[in-house]
Amino acid sequence: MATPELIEILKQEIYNLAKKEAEEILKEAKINASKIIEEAKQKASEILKSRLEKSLRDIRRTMNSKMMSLRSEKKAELIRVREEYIDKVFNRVYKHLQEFTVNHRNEYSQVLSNLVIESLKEIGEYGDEFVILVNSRDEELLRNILPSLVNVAAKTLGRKITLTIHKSPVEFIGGVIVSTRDGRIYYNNTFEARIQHVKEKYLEKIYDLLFEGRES
Amino acid sequence: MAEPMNEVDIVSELLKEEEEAELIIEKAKQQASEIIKRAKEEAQRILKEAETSNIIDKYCNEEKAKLSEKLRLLEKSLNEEITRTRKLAEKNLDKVIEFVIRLILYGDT
Repeated sequence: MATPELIEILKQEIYNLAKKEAEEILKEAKINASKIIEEAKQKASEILKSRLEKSLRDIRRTMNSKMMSLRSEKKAELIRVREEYIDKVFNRVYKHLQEFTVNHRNEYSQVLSNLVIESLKEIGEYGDEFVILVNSRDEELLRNILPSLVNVAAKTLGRKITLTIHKSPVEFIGGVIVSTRDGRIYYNNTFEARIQHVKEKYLEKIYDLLFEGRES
Repeated sequence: MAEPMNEVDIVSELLKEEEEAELIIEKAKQQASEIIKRAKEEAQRILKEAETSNIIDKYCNEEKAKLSEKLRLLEKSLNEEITRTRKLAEKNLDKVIEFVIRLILYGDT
């Protein structure tokens, strides 16, 4: 038979065991709760990091796109400025040449002579009779120097040739068109043709001179 | 010395104590369940906060400001290059015209 003291000891033991188990349960719950919070914090940190990275990527992509647009817009503007000045050069050249043919007749006469000789050097081998086409304005000027022109041409080509002056049906700023008598071979040495030639052959050089001193 | 108890009383006493012990454990389980529930709610709140918080705006605004300044400087630099190009062309214009006219009148000799 158990005494009441022994029963009391047993009861105390039952109570202690229950208390201990309860404490264990609460302790484990607290640990698990901490884990849940910690994991959430970790995940939240990753979410924030990911959101930030995405936002920064978007911002950078947008700004890069703006920079690229700006660069190509300004590059196009720079090309327009260069073309504008090339046009300006040739417009002014055109006007200067017009003025030159009218106001510097003596010098222009020498230029015409040179242009005829230069043309003959190019097509002289194709005949002995050549036609010089000039503007009506320059016809008389060229007729005045025709005898000396024939002599220079003979010396240059090493044989006698015949030169005939005709009024060109088409007006040009200045210069000449020299052709064989039958018109099959010709050399266009008008100012317009020479301007075109300069544009084709010297455009790069003109760019360099025009924008000399520019950092590349 | 106390009187010994009979068996029925002992079992009854111990069962009563067992019931109380079970109540203690049951109460602890309920508390534990409540602790976990609150932790889960807190975790949800933390995650929602991370998804909607505007804390990253500060960094985004700083980046935007930095890149906008870079864009502004780039535009300034490109505009300066255009202005410089115009000035050079104006400065060299007469010289180039003279060069072209000489080429047309006298060739490239």
